[in-house]
Amino acid sequence: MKTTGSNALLRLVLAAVIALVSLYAYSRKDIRAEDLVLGKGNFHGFETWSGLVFTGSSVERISSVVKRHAAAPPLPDAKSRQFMAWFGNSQLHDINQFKEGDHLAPYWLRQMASCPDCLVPLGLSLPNANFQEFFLLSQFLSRNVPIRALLLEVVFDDLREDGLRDDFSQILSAELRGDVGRFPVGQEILDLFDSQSNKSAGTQENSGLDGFFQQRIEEALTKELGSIWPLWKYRSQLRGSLLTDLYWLRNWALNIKPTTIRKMIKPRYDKNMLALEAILSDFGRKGIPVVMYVAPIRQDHPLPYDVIQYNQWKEELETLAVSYSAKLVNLEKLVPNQMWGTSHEDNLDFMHFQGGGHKLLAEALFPIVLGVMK
Amino acid sequence: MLFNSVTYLLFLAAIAAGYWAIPSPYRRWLVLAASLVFYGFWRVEFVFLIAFSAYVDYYFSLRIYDEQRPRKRKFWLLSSLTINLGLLAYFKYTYFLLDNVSALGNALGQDWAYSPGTIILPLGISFYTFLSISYTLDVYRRLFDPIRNFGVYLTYVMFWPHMIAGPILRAHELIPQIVTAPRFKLDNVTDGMKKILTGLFLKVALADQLAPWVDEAFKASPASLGGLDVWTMAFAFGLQIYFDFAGYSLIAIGSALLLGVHFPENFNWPYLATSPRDFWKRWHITLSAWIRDYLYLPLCGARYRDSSEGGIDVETHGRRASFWHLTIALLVTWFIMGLWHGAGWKFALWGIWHAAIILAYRASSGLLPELPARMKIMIGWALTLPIVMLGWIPFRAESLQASLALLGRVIDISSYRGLAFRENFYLLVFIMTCGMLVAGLMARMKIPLLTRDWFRQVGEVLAMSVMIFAVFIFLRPVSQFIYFQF
Repeated sequence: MKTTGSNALLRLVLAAVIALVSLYAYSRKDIRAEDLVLGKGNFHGFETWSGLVFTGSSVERISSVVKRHAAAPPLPDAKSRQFMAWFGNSQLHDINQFKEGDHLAPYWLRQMASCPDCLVPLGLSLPNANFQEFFLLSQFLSRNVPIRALLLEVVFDDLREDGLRDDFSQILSAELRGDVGRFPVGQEILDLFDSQSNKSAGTQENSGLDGFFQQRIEEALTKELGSIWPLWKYRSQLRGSLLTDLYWLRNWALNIKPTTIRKMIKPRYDKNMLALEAILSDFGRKGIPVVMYVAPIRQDHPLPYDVIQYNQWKEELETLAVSYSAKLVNLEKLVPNQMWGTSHEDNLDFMHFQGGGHKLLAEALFPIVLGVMK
Repeated sequence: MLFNSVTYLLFLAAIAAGYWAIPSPYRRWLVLAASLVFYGFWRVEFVFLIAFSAYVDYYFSLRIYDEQRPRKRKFWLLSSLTINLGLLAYFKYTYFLLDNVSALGNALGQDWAYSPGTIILPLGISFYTFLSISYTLDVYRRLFDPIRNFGVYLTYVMFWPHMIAGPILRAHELIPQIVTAPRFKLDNVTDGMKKILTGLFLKVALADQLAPWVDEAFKASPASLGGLDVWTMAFAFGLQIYFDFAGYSLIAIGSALLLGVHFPENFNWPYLATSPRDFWKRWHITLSAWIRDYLYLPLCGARYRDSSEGGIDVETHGRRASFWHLTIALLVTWFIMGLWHGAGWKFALWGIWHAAIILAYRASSGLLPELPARMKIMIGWALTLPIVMLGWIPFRAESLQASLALLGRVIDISSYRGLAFRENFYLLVFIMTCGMLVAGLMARMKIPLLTRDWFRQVGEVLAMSVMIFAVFIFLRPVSQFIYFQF
């Protein structure tokens, strides 16, 4: 292709114009990251009691909830607080099709207590939380708050997850590392976390410049550019939008639907089950009762799991519960069909139910919790 | 300074603008100053080390050239090589050496553990050392008259586009371009900008997006992985390092072109290679040509060549060496090539892997002479691609033991039953592999529609707009280039 330099420059300029117009058009697109993670129509909430937040759905909020309760002033009339931890995934902190008066399950459980000020169910949940993260949270909690019981939501799908999310660096103190590292699986989790924090392609904007004199200049330039050009500042949202669109494109191209069977990923499964075992053994040794419940899942469609693998997993949970004297309840059919969220085929939410489901869950678990805390 | 950063793009724009604005006699001084700043953005103190080392080479080269007595000339040459290789050995191989001494001590029941303290590897020392050695050897071989101006020599060594990770240029390829200031040509500027754009796209939109997946995969315990997982990891890293390094090279070549300086190409669709020999004519071409001329051909006892193009060529063009002579030369060359990449036995394994496949190719290249040429090419490609990709396993694995364990999974047929990673990883690697191959084939095939000017121009505009879009979104220095560690 014989062209002159000016022709080539013209094409380059034209390409830049097309790209810029596309970028501006794309930046008008409004995508809620939560819709991708949680499905449409979900309300992401937290609960307070007497002005004190007692549920958290991110590592930062969990840390804040735990520390505030640890430092809370004593109750009047010689009453004492009894803490219990309730670990879960987004099912615990989301309400589908939220209506006025709806609350999360930990709120209902607290309200059912004869002395709601005395029973503090700390609802600590993370989207797609895996058992390795629960294990770390359990050690964090043990170090900060004297808990009387642990309520553990177990979801088969979450065993496809691996490792700790980056935010855990906020709570991973040297002392906590020591606690976690006492367990072989804990050390493995820490090693993976450390190696991923040091990985060549980090999530921080300028991590490739660590130790470079250039780092400060890059930060200043990027900031300055963002202040004079809003589109530049909007780049992280554009990245999010693009990755979201690629996700939808993948689903469309491969005909992936919410009902598509999600296969177990064996190495991750094994590591998560080892982490669960570590929680049960540690809490058993400390004399803290643990209640595991198989999380409710909608029953009006075939489960998106390999049924044989799913049943084998439940059997394995039973064996673990017996071995470590924990309590296991199966609540998968607890929430009736009409209390689940959107149900058209392309947007079928298997995880999040409406406000009524939260109340049902609390009602089902309340007597069990009281029983083990006696 | 990292290429994939706002700082660099602004720096480049300012230098390029200044370069063409000032009178030509001052341009090389601007290039030298810019190169010092570029390197100083990493660590200022190492600028002095490089400058000192450059002066030693500069001085010794003059002595080699002026000296008529062969023994004296050899003395100056060996002195220069000793200093260059000594610095490289100290900075790059001290830990490796002491680790091995310690391991040997343990095996013999002795405590031979020594601590050298903290040694920081100067950025680009491996490339810089090769550059210096080739200069001194070229002067020794009387291929090039030495520079008698230290400023010019230092500019050649420190010219920022190639200093950190190549392309590795010979003195005669770069120095004349520095000395005789090139004339401004709009073609060079637009070509340079296109190469920089393509390089950034490869780095930030492809390599950096693959990196977290690759990192996570290589952290997994080999025992938990199946054969298909290891193949996917091999292809994933093979793609990552290609996008990363080819991206770097394109940015380097484009940056030089903005100043009117031409570098040779460093990559030429390596994964379309139809034999191991062909692969090394397409991958890191300037390094393989360097190894050919300054290591392999001398070891073969053959006449050297003087061009940073053409890759490693087993044709020796000189006196015929015996099979064993060539084989040993090849193994030694690749062993050194492996260790040059990194101070670890896993890199040596990677080098030996390539020596082995080149030997296997030599031994088998006469087989099936009746096969049609097109069929031979297809079979050659179908064999070369997976073998080269699998060779990346030791290059990327944490250790030699991990490499062997991973390669062991590949030959364990029973391990192919399960998958250890999320489905997206396999999908991503599959799509990127297919995308790269299709792009490569489209660039080379002579389909009538693809050769039409209007089609190519529209296609180019669309491709560039996609690249600008992606680079705008993803440009951030989240990671260094993989070859920075070498």
